[in-house]
Amino acid sequence: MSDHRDTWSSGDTYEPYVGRWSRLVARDFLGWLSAPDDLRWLDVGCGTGALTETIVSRCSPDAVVGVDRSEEYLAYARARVTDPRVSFRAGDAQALPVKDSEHDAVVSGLVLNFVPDQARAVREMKRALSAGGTAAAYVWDYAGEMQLMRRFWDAAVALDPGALELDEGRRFPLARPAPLVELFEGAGLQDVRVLAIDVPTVFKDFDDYWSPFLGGQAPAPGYCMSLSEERRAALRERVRSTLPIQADGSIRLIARAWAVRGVAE
Amino acid sequence: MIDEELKAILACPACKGDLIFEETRIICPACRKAYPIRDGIPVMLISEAEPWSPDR
Repeated sequence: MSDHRDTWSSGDTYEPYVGRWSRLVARDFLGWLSAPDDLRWLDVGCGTGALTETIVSRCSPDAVVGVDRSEEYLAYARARVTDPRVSFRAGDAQALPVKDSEHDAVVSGLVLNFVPDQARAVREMKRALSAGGTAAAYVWDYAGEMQLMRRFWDAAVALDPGALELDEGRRFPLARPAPLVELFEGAGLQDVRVLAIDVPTVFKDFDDYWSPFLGGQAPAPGYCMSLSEERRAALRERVRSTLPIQADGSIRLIARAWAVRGVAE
Repeated sequence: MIDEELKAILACPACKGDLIFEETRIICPACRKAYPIRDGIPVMLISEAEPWSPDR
């Protein structure tokens, strides 16, 4: 399931690639949950802290605990999110370092598809929840309308059929409504619902689109930087030819995430 | 470093049991594991834990 190119460490390169868009999704996701104030939140796979930060700014939490495998990401998150209600620890989504039933809302943003045992991860989310608490997550619509990645992989596969096995649309079948519902219901969560969250991803020019793929972070940039300079240039031009570049040079795409939520009894 | 409220909810990722908090590490007496605290962040990864013995 995981790949050697799935590298996750530097927050500085993750931010321009996905972090800046994931914050927009986080905002809409929390709006959908419309959680009351003063909840105890757990953010599973908090990464650079985009969702945790949004919980702090929008949800008046009692406390937020962010858990991520990557200590490098946590260091970045901790430097960014200094609210005293927030704490971070290194941990695995499949073996959360928290006691049973101590959280009112357990959330996970853009992570579940990367977890090897997804069913176990959602069971862990449910275990952490108090009765009546909400578990919720979102993942990019890799196979569909996460357009900035979709355009990249479609061009990559057109030039290199070997890229097909790295294409996240293919690698992450979870990231569709029916499998997400099945996953949450399979963990024993009730009243499971799904929502498509579309956010605009507006690039001021082609460089603004392309340069994050040169950061080497996450699957698509990892693939991009594994190519020779010549093949990378060919890919760049192929991608450029498929993008809707406006007269002023800007590129307006959308990014869709599928969000899922359920309630613990 | 880790306040009381957080200590109360933190559990061993392996057995979910209670932990003993030290300055530089967090111990699960049931699993006999010691989890490191690095740069102020508890590293609650089973793969990062050191064996721990109650004898010393």
